[in-house]
Amino acid sequence: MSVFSLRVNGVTREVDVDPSTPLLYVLRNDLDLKGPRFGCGLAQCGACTVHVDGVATRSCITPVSAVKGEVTTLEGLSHDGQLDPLQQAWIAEQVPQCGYCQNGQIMTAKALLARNPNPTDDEIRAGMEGVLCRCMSYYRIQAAIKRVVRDGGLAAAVESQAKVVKGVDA
Amino acid sequence: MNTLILPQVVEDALHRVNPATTRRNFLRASGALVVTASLGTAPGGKVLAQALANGRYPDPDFLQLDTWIVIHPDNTATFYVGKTDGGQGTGTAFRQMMCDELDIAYDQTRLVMGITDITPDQGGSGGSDGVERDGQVMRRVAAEARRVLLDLASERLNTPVIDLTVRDGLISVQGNPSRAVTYAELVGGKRFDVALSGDNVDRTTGIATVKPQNELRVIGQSIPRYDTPAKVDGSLTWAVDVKVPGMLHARNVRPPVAGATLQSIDESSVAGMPGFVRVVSKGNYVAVVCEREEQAINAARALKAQWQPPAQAPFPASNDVFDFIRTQSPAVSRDAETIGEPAAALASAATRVEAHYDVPFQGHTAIGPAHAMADPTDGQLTIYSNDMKSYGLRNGVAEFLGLPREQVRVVYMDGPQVYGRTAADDAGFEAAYLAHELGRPVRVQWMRDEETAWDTKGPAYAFTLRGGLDDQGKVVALDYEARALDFNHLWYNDPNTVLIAQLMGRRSPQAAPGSAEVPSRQYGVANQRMQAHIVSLPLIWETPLRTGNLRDPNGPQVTFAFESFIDELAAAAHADPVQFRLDMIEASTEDAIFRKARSLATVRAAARAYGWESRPSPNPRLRDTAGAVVSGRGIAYTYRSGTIVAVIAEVDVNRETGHVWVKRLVCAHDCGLVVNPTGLEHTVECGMLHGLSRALWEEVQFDEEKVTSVDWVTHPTMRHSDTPASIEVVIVNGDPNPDRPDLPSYGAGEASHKPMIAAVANAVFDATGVRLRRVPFRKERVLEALRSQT
Repeated sequence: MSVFSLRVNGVTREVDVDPSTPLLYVLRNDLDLKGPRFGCGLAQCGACTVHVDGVATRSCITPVSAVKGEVTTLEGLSHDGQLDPLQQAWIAEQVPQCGYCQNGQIMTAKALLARNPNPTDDEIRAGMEGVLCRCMSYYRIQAAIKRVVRDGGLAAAVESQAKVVKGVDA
Repeated sequence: MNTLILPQVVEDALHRVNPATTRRNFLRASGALVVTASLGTAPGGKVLAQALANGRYPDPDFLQLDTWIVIHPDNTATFYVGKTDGGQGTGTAFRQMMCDELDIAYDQTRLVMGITDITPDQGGSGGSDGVERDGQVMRRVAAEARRVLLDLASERLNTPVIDLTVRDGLISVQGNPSRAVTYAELVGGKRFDVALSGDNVDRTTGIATVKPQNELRVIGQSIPRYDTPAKVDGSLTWAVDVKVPGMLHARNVRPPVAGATLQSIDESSVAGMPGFVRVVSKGNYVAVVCEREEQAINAARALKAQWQPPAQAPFPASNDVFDFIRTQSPAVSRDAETIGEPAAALASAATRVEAHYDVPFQGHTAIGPAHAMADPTDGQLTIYSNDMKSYGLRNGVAEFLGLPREQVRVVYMDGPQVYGRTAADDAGFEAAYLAHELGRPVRVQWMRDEETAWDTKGPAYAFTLRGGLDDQGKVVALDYEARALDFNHLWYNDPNTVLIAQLMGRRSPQAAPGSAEVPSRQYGVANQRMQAHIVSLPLIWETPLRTGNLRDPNGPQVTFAFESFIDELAAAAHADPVQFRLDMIEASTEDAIFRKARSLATVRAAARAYGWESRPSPNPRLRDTAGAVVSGRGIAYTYRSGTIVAVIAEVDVNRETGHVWVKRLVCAHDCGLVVNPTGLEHTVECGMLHGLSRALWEEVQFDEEKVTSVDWVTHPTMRHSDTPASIEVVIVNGDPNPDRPDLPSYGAGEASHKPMIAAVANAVFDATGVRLRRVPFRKERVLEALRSQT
């Protein structure tokens, strides 16, 4: 075991763990954070994504000893209850089904928009390609990102877009 | 940190448990629960471990109104229901339904679901019947609470009930609003003490009747889901997050070859590893337990064990599996459903069509592998789980461990998608077993390879369909034969069939064959024969090819074959695929719950929303299309339970690469009364896309000894780039009587998933003239079909 000093969501924390411990387990089990979560342990799905100095990073394969920068998790996107525009857009678009993957979706989208504040639809698809959702909420995720690009995400509940047809009209 | 932080609503619910009584006492009994101040980092966190362990856990009495509804002194209400939410927002829908009947504002209420000792056993979730069946019970008990409150108010205000009016939990005298009393003033913090009637939970009712539909105010609103904010800001505690003091971490070690027998374990291979606690094994079940999670992962990987492979190959390789299905004698043959004289009609038909379709095993492959935490403190057992049927887990674990039911409870919490997977909660049983063995709280989570290889599978199917057309192009004969690899289908939380039980050598007396299905009678055809058979693989027990319920367990497979074949018949008749279907629906005599009229309305609504051009498939302009990419459209229609659905897919097919992109989807959907339009729309949309993933990507592959689909490379799923550019959902009310109030609500969790594979295949045919008869439509297979059929 070794003591590591980590700066996480603006606070410096010390943990005493084996140097090879993936950052994911340090965040979840030592620092009690719930945003990043285990999906594959192989950097294939994105559920564990955090930012290290603003770069989207798969915490499941990142040894704690390799972390040199400031770590931001999903919890760190909001400040004093003020949600990030992306989080507001996620609520306005009612994105999640189960929601388990949404940490990775939001953290990846945040890093994408930091690199490219005005992505095209194709750039959104390409930028989000490596983050999987098994409820297939992809269409809503892309709508939420487009909402932020369009108007900063300002939250307003989305009314159903569905048309309603009475049988006699159909 | 070892703190147990539960969602606020769950904490509040648990605080109201009085273990000394047989039903929930929401007055906090002094000293009954020990609640200490927060040690956690999250706001509102409380240490509850000690408190949770004090009591026994009897069954809440569903015939007591207090079991369902509590009115608090602040004039808010908490609803307690025996359901779970797999991510479709049913919790929000339940709240809306109960608010409407109770006449209380949505924001004044909360909902607690699926905690076995404080919510009535409604069976949890499954079959998309939450709103259709269980929600109606909730409406009735909420209506009864409103009736009781009105009676109390009548007495208090000395005014007949008929002269009272209710709004947002405030009862006032009509025409004299100053004379009023709140629900809280009547029963806040007290019991109703009102008995309900009904010989089972589904029939629970009071004296009151529910409101007529034209008086519903909360039902029908697109209220945002209450669980979304905490899911996007990271504040929600999920089942996967639960920790208590002294908790250990376990990881399973699975047989390297299906059906292998454990010979020996070399415990010295891990005994010196950091944090090592114990290797637990019984029969062929093996787990390694350590102090920390990464230690358990490392030790489980390092453990050396000797396994004896089975004498006989457990199954053929996935590439050979359809030959296997077609050449084996079925283990079970269902009775054929026959109408008319199908053999004679087929023999004398002007045109005959025959086609074979194959659907492989498809897995759940949840984004979050199976997990649970079990706490055995004080001889009780609490399991924190996302089991969609938490009551079944409680009963199953009690039987599995030989514990009295009252010593076991399950706290249902949010988790990754369910879709039938967590109805057989392997991790819940494993955590319970390990905690019971070690006498300490144990958390289990499966690894990715384990989840993808060993989760429950939707059965593989091979179909043969034959049809005959008369000289007018009308279908005069249909013959459907299906074979499903679905022997020993997993039952819900059965202590004899969950994976740990199988591996320990525990067996039910006989395997339970699945329900190989025939299509719904959605079309009128004078001569039909429909039959389904079940075929068994050589290895029945301890196999990674365990079949279980996967979102509409047989529907996507059966509908792929059937609606593809209807499309083939339409093409043979040179008919427009929509008009061809409409004519066949018109010929149907099946009209329970107005299915016929609603089907016509739904198919027409889809075609109209899409802008469907009437013409046969394939697209006659196809021969003029230069370039690699060709486009087409395809329709598939079906129903599930009372819900009618028609999906139109528009595709681009790259003839050089085989790549298929479904760029537009239109779904018309009639599920009767809609509780939450936005919630419905998203569920319908994601149901379609889940079907799209199964159409394009999903296949469990295996060699002759093990499953080789073990991660997201070897088991690909739909990604962002596969997402359609446009999705439209049309909510149809196809009731043929426009003056009647809406029909009741029917389930919506699965219907739009069901026709999706067929819609894609039909669209590819329209675009290319090539029929895809083997799922999934990965580009190599599409390319092969393009080359072999043109």
